[in-house]
Amino acid sequence: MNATTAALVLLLVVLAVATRWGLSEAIATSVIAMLGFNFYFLPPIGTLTIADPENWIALAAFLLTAVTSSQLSSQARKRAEEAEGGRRQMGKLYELSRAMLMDEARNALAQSVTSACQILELESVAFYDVAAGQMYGSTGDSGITPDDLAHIASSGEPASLERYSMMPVRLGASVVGALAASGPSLTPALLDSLAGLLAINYERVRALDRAAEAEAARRNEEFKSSLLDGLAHDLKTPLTAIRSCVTRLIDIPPRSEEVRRELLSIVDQESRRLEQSITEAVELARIESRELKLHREDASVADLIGMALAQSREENPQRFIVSVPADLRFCADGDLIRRALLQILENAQKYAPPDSPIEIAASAQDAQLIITIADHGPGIGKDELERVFEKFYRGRRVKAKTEGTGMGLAIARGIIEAHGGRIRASNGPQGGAVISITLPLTQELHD
Amino acid sequence: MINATILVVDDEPQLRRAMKATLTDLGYSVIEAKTGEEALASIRQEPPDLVLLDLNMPGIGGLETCRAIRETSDVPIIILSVRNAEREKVQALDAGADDYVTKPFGIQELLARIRAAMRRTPALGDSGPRRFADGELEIDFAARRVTLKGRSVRLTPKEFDLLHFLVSHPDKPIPHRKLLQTVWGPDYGDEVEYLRVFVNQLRKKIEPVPSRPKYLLTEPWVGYRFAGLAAAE
Repeated sequence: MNATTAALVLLLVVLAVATRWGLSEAIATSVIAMLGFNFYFLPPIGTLTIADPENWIALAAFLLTAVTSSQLSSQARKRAEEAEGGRRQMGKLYELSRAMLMDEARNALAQSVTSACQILELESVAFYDVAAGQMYGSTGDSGITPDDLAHIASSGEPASLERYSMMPVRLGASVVGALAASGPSLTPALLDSLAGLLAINYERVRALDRAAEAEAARRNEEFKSSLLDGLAHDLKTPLTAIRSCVTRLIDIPPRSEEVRRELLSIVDQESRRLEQSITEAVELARIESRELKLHREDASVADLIGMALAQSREENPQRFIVSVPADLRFCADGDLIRRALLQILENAQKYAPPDSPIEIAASAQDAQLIITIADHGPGIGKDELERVFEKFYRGRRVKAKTEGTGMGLAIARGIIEAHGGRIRASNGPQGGAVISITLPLTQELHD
Repeated sequence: MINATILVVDDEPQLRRAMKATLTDLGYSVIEAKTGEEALASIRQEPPDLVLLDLNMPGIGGLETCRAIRETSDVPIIILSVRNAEREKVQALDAGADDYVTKPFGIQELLARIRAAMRRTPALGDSGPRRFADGELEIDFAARRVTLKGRSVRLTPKEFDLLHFLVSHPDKPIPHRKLLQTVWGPDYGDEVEYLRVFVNQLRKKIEPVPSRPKYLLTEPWVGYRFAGLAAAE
């Protein structure tokens, strides 16, 4: 191998060391390489002395080239490392922003601070919400108080205390809060990015809150309008019968006494029904205001159910399938229990297809009276099983097709609960709604 | 004495009873149905002269019943409903109803609506053109038949009367009130939404491109006009 080839190979070795390890290692290698080159390749070979002055220049050139190239390659390596670090940080920030976006919980702000701490590998992070006057996260043992952060927010100037860096969190031109963070990996750029993310998340959480408020307001409106629909129907149906009959009597007097009597009897019945609707509304108001007084007496369950069935105005009584022991008795306000049963029956009549069977069963179990009323209608959605007893709530599956005030089951619940009982809704094995009532059989002192 | 059969469709027994009591001794015979399904069966079995249809019923409901009736029958349909919103009225008319009466109503109002729904515009009679044809659209007024590009088109009586009246006065804007009073009856005049719905339905049936009508033109703020491109024979 001649001297030139050897010099070039040694240069490659220096470059490799610079790329792999760094500047100082590269310089050390350069010096060793130069000594070796001198010793083995520059005459007189075998000594470190140099005879030809020209070889001095060659040696200097070699050293210069080795040092410069190792400097360049180690710089490139450093940049690559920085880029890699930046990329990792970007990745973490991205992960954090994702974690923040996925979070729809009520405590999304507190959660975002915890996520920031974990994902960015910081010691501690705290965020102060100006609008709420509240601090999320912790400031460790640094003694930084929410007031300090409030001050940062109001002054709009960053500050630092011990290991902690603090800065205001801006959304557009306005300051929404302040941020304090500490940790070895914390850089001003990271702090900046974190503040930006927190600001966006803050706005997102506020937007979610506003949307939830709007949704609640909309539900409330729907609620009112379904109440009005139901009331309008309950009041206007009898009114329609009354008005058409009365105007007929006035405008075109009937020729036969028979027709006249029929028209008048409709007016009579429908005005009573109108009264009943109004009474119902008043009754519900009374039950709700807990003015209900129970007049308990010994009563036959079969009798009460029989009376409720008779009152249900069902055109086809055959659809009722009743299985109630004749000797089953309990102590209750019969009038009210009958009314509760009637409300449940009317509900079943309203929502199940006409003429489909409605099963009524009663039994005694562990000193409890259990009455179930099962229909063959569309049933009740799982999420609605509790809500059907709410005042004015009307089942989603039937609302569009059926009118009602949504007062019936609320009245029933009011009455049953006043007796110390429970009422709940479920779906039968073949679909269809099942309303179950549980009442204490031996009860004296519940009111 | 009138002699017509009215089908009353309502889930409230007392309303059916009231309708029966108020209408029977005026010469109408009343048939009852308590659901839309029953009404459809009843119409198949014994076609009535008019249907009084409640909107809110369990089962298929009034609107759907109305559409189902219209698939097979031109019988006049009057909707009876407690709802008073214009949207509801338009929906009902769109479903094919001829008229919409809000509950509660007086008997005179109902009777006037029943008469109007059943009448066949006498004002038209034999006057006006007997035929209209321009190559695409063909109307034979005597036979009450309409064909578009050789395909037969079904019109309800009210739609046909409305078209007839407009074609009888080609190229002349007819005011809303005039149309309503001629086609529905003298008690009408303010029900502009009826015209909007019926003209839209007519356009769907007789216009080659319903969204760009060439026969039934809207005269803003005035009424409607039939563009008689080809002179009616």
